[in-house]
Parts: sequence; structure tokens; C-alpha cells
Amino acid sequence: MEGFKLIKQGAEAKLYQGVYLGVPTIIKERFVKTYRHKHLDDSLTKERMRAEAKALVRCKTVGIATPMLLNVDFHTRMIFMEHFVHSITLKDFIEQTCLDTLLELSVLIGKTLGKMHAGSIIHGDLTSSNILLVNTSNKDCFEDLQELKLVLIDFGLAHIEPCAEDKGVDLYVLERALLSTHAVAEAIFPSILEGYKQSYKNGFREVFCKYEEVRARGRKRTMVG
Amino acid sequence: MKKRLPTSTTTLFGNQWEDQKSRPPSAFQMLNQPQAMWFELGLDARPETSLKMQLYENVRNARELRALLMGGQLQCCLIKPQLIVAPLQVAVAANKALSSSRKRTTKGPFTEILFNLSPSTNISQSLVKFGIEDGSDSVLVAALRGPGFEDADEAFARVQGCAVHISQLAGLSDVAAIRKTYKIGDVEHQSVALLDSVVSRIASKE
Repeated sequence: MEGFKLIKQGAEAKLYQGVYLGVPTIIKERFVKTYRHKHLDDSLTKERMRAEAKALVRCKTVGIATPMLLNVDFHTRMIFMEHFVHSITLKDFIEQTCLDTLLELSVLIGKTLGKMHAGSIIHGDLTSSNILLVNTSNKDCFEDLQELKLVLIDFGLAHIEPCAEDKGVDLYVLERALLSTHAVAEAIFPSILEGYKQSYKNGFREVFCKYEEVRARGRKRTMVG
Repeated sequence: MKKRLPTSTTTLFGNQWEDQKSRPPSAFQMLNQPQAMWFELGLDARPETSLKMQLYENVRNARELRALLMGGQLQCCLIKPQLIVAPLQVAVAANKALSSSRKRTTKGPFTEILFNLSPSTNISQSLVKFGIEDGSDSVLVAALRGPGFEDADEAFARVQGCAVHISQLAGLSDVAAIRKTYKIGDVEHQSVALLDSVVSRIASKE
């Protein structure tokens, strides 16, 4: 941990940034929650870290770029991941880019999400902050789409689930997140769905069906009866 | 036929290696001069211990080295370089192997490094797969230096072969064998750097 500095703190984890084995690294530490029983806290944390690592690697197997994992330490509750130095979040990118480029990018995002869902991976927290655009020629320049690579991050709530329900919720969560942060959301979301359709040919119908259902009722299933 | 690595994979570590100035000074310790043949890296798991690697080609005494290693007279790992993409792969495995919070699966630190390199949970299979064979003519020697590992340099002296720069590792890697070992399919190979795939699998192994 020497040489690492705290960059962010959330409800679940602290993020540190530094260099590990010569590679720029982010450490995600799921700190101890003292209000929970120790045994429960340990097993929950371990389970979530395992799910996160598994989803990250599984994304790679279906061809989606995710950070390189460098260490998973259950004892210190830390996951070490590659830090993309020359990157920008989709959130910032949307605010500084013209609509034409965004529409082109949206199809790409949709394709990536379609691939992910086709591989039964549910991200669980799709927002514009959890999608990174990484410059592939190591420059801090984010204008040319050809130079950028789409990377999904933060699989802290991810799980593996083949059923359409969770995929529908995943899309709904993204739509809500985009609508609440970006003015152009309404314009770009259809393109995302279009891209999704293209890369998830044999499953998108069922997912869209569920997505409409989720939209009508909200994220949580009714537990009445 | 041996396939060359895609350039993106080799540069992932190679680039950072070259430009010394852009690297943050702390945490990363390259203890030797950059022009030296061998490669040494401070381990994060044990700050006072470092991992030293040297690649040899045209090795004549692989059989003897193996016998010494099995007899407990050599304190090092003899790794098959064909299965290694970049030094980072060994470094990540070694860090995992030596972190004090983990329970060891194998008997010694060096077998533990080999075991951690492997995606399999079968110990003997992992050692056979990642260790050298009697007829091997190239070998990557990895030893530890620090408290408890005093005679690191002896292992290097025993090798009868031609010491080459660690960057030659890229030319020795057998991509097909690596992909088979770590089960990297076509889709993944096309869009993810090989080193990324391999290192992530090693790190997430339990």
C-alpha cells in the first residue's frame, strides 16, 4: 500500500491509486463494516469480491475490455486493477462531444452490452461513470473515436445470470442513469438499443419485452401475493 | 511454427520499461541497472524481498538442473519460457504466492510460484506444465532475494547456457500453447491483449 493515495470513497469501498509491480494500479478496498456481524461481513465481502473478479474475467472471455486484474486479496479485502491513465468517463465525454459522434458511440456501447448479456453477465450498475473511453495510443486526447477503446469498469454489483429479467433491469438502470445525468439521453438511448439488437440477435426480443415490463413497474418486482 | 506476439501485448510492459523518467519513483524498485541482463523487481507482498529473473538459451544441463532442484539443492523456479508472456506474469504469480495472508497450497515458496502461474488446481500437473523438462534448451530462472533467501545467486551460477536479455522472452512465448493452457478462445484473443488475459486469470485464481 506504500505510495498509494486515496482517490475516492463510496459506501462499499475505498479506491486508491498508485503503482504496483510497475503497472499503474487502482486498489479497491472493501472496508470492514463494523455495524455488521463480523462473520456475516467477512462472508459477504468475500462473496462479492469473488463475483467481481469472476465477472471481470468472464467479460474478457466474451471479448469485452475490462481492467487487468493484478491481485485479489481476500484477507486485506483488496482488489488490484489496472488503472487507465489516458481515459475519460462516458459521463464527461458526453458533455464535451457533438451528437453525431455520440450516436455513433452509442451503437458501439449497445453492441458491447449485447455481447455482455449474450455471455450471461449482468453488470448491475450500468451508468455513464462506469463506462470508460481509453485512448489506445497513450495520449490524453478524446476526439477521434477510432483511437478510443470502450472499457467497462466497476463490477462490484455484477453477477452471472442467464435469464432475461436481470438483463432487462440492467438496461433500465442504464436508461435511468443516463436520463438523470444527461440532456442528450433521450436522443442516444435508442441508438444503444439498436447496437444491442445487432450483437445479441437471438435474445434481444425477450430482453426488450422484459425491459418494457420493468419500465412499467420499476426496478423491483412486485412481491404481492 | 511459433507465432509472434501481437505488438500490443509486448508493449504493455515493454513501453513502461523503456521510459524510465515517466515512472513514479516510489513503490517500483528496479534494483539493478537497466542495461543488466537480469530483471529484478521488489515484491509488494514482502517489501524486503525481491524477485530476480534471468532468461537462458542454449541450456545444456537441463537434466542436471532438474535433478538438483528436486533434490532441494537449488533455491529457485525453473520456468518453461514458452508459457510466459512477460515478466509481469511471473511477478503477479510470485506476489500472490508470497503474500503472507494466504494459506500455502504447496510445500515451498518456489513450487507455490509455479502453482500460482497455473490456472489448474492440480499441484503436480501445474509443476510439470510450467517447470522445464530434461530436454529443454531454454529456461527462465526465477529466484528470491531477501531475508530467508540468502543463496539466490547460486542458482544462476549453476546454469550452463547463454544468458539473454529478458526482452527476448517475447520471442520465445508460444502463443498457441499459452492460449490452450489458460483457455483463451478466439473471441477473447482478438480483442484482449494476451498478457491482460493471462495475468487476470492468475490474479483471480483462488
